Amino acid sequence: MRRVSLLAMVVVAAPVFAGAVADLPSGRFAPLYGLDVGQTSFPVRAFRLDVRPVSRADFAAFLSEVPRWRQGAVPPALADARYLATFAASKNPAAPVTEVSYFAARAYCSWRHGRLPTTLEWEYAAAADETRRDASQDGDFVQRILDWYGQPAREGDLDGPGSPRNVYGVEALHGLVWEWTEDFNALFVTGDNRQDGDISKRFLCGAGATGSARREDYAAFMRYAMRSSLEARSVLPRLGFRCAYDDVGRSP
Amino acid sequence: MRQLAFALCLVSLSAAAQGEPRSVLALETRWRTESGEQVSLSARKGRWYALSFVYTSCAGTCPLTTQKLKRLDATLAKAGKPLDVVVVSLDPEHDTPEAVKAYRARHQLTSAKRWSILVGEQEQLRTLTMLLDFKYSKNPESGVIMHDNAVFLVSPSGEVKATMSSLDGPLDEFVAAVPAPTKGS
Repeated sequence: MRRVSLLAMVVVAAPVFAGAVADLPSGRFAPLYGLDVGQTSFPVRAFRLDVRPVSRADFAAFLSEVPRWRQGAVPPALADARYLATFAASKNPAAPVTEVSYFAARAYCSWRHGRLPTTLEWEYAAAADETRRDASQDGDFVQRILDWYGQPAREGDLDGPGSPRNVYGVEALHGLVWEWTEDFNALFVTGDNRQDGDISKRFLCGAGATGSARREDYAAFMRYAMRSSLEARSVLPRLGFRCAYDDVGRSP
Repeated sequence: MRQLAFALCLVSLSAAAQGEPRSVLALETRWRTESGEQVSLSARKGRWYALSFVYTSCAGTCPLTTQKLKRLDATLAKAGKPLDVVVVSLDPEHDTPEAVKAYRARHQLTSAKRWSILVGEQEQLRTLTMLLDFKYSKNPESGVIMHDNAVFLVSPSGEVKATMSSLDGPLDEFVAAVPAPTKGS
C-alpha cells in the first residue's frame, strides 16, 4: 500500500523525473586495472552521462510503466530478496534509488534509451574534480573520497548532495552511493586466468593494489574491490546507478 | 587503511550471494548460428545441454576448453547420455559465420550435429554471462579477451545444475549430474 502511495505521489508531483545529462568529451584514461604491459591508457569515446544518480522518483515512474520490475514480480535469478526492500517507506523521492540489482538498473537505462556506463567510462568521469579532468593523483581529492568510504552508514545518508559538480558537469559520483557499471565484474588481476574463475573474489580481501597502474589511487582500488564482490543479482542499501547514452550532442 | 580493507572484506561476505539460483532463461537472449538461423535459448527448453564460452581467434585457453567439451561429449555418449553442447562466442565483432565454420573445421566438429556455436550482439552476451556470473573483459586496444573458464550444465528449465572448470579437473561430477534419458525420449 505504501508503495502504491509513493508511486501515486511521484506520478502526480513528478518534480525530479529524468534529470539532466552531461556531455563528456572523448579522451584517454588509465584505469586502475586492465592495461597490458606497454599500455599506458585506453581511449574513451565521447558519451553522455546522467548528472545525478537515478532517483527514487525516476525509478518509481519506471515501475509504474514496467510492472515486471516491481518488488515481488522479479525472480530470484534477477534480484535477491532485499530488492527495493525499503523503497516504499522512503520519504525523499529525490534521493538516489538503491536496493536495485544490476539487471533492474540495466532495464531502467534501456527504458530511458540509454545503458549503464562501462567501468572505464565511470572511472573516467569520476576522476575529475571541480576544475581538473583527472584529479586522481591528488592526495587531497583521493582522501576526501576515502573519508566517505570509511564512514559507517547512517539514517539520512542518501539525502545529501554528494560530491560537487565536476568539470564535466557531473555530480555525486562520490559521497552518496556506490554505482553499478555495465561490466562491473570484469576484473582480472593476474595476467593468467588458467587457474580458476575465482581470482577476482580472492583478490577482494587482498592487501594491496599490486599489479595496478596507479597504486596511490586507493579510492579506485576500493571501488574495484567493491564491484568484484557483487553478483548481478546483488542488492545493497547504498548501491545505486546512473545511465549513460551514446547520442552525443542531442538534448536529453 | 587496513581498517578500510577489513571493512570491505566484511561487506563482500554479505554482498556476494553464493549458491543462489541461476537461470539462463530469466532474461531472453537472441543468437545466430553460423548458417544464419536466429535462435533463442528458450527454444532449448525441455532439453539438457552443456554451455560454455570461447572465441575463435583465442590462442590461450579456448582450444583447451573445446578439447574438454569434446572429451565430455565422447564420455557422455559412451555412458548412454548424449548431451547437446552450446558454445557461445565471446567476440561477436570478429566471430563471423566464416570464422565459426573455420573453427569447426580446425577442431573436427563439422559433423558434430549436437554442437551449436552461437554468436550474438555484445548486449546479449553481457546479459547471458551476467546470468551465469561468468566474467569476461576485452582489452579495447589489443582485442585480447580475458575470461573465466567454466562449463555449465543447464537443465530443461534453464537452471544451472552443475559447473566445472573448462580446463583442468575431472569430468566425473559433471557427468554424474547429467540424467540418463528416460525411455522414449
